[in-house]
Amino acid sequence: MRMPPSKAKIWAWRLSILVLMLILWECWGRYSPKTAFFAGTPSQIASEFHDLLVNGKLYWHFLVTGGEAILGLAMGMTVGTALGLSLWYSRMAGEVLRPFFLAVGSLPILAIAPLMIVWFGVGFSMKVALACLSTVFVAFSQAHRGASSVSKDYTEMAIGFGASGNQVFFKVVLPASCDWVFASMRLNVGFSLLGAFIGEFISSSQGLGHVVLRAASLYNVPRALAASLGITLLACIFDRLASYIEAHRDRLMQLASVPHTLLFSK
Amino acid sequence: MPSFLDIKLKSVSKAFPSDTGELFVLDSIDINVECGKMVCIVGPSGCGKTTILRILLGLESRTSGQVWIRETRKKGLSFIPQNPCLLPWRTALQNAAFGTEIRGEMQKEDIARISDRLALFGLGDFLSFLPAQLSGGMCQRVAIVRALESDPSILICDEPFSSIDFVTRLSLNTEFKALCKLIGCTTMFVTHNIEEAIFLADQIVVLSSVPARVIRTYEPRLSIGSEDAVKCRRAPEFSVLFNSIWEDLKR
Repeated sequence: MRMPPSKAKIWAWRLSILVLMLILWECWGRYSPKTAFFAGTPSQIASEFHDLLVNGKLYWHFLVTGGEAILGLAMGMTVGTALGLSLWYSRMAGEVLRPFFLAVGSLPILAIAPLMIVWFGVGFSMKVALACLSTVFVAFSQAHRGASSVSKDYTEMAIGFGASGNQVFFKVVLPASCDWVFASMRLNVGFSLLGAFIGEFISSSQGLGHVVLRAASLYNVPRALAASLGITLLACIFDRLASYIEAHRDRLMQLASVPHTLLFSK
Repeated sequence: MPSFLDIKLKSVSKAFPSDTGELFVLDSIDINVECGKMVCIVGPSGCGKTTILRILLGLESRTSGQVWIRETRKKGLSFIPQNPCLLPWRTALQNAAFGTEIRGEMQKEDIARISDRLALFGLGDFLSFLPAQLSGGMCQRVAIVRALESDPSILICDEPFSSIDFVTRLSLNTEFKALCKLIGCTTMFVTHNIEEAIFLADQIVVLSSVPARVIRTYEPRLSIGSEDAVKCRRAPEFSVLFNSIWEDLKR
């Protein structure tokens, strides 16, 4: 039987590939000034990253973009999931409303972005609204599919015990849809960052998108890439957070649907 | 309506729409279940046994006929499905407590009672286990405790032991019958296992193939081992009844 590779081995391979790529990039950049101008070199990016950390308030831009994305994600997930799940109560309403949501959801976020300035101004709230808009339709669609695909066996079992519509929803449908909600959260982590980033690209005075845009307009590619590293770091933190929540899903599902006396009994 | 009846089905028929019009699954079914008795319904596979239970539970509408459940007993209705249907995110204890939870507020005494019942069924060390960590037999036992823990007045069972191995099934049959007698619930039990029906039932209703009709009813009275699923096989009436039901089903 083939044994799965050890974690140490996987990490050793990952690091080797990364180091090799960085060395090749560095050598190529030093050999060709044209490449260094258009793509920078790892040493220049590291230097710019350090400069941003010390003098450029990188942590502040990091917090601003992170705040916009996480607020937008929380709002989008809450609204989209609540709407998607609540359509379980009426199959008719679900069928009627679904195409409308899909139609609005299929609009490219960039096309709506200028309207956001009209509605929300150019400040923090506009970026949050864009991040929210980027996530709400995915959350809605996944939650609706999750609620619709809950096994009939479970709902009929609950009805057999005399459960009311609300009891079936809160004790069976809501926790049973959690896998779909978590899946949408994973997808939306990226979308919320993209929404916040687009908002900062359109108009901003702070945030990682603003740093990237300003550096790129000055042809300072290493600085733009250094700021992009910050976005990658943010995406990694969000992803770890989503993984942590997913790893505790059974407990969360119990918290959402089991009475406290039973939940904390020995 | 006679006062000793808990469930009465009178001329119940059920038709499902099909390509050729309507397919009649049940044809004028008459079943009476007396208070505190267990009625087992046996019949060929796909004859509509489960449909009768679904009509009783209100999960399926009937095409014609009447279904009557004593009003005062309706609130204490509980059921065991064919598949244990344990909610995968709930522990064994939380699953077993589902019925009580639906009926009202959960008290500490309820939790203690349910834990004791689980222990009685050999699950005392598995209270905090999720269904995925339990065997099929264990899951079925949790489903049985879930149905019985609130001392229901009416119990509906849809082949609850069908997915359990023979040895476990025999011991569960014995425990189940003892517990039902202790609680005094009126039980409607669907099975395709004739031996199980002879051991458990106060009355056996034999159905024909589709469209199902009641062919005959039996009232097993076993002279040996009426409380033990293994010993009851030694009773002379056991094989006589078995052969008679078998002949009915072969018709």
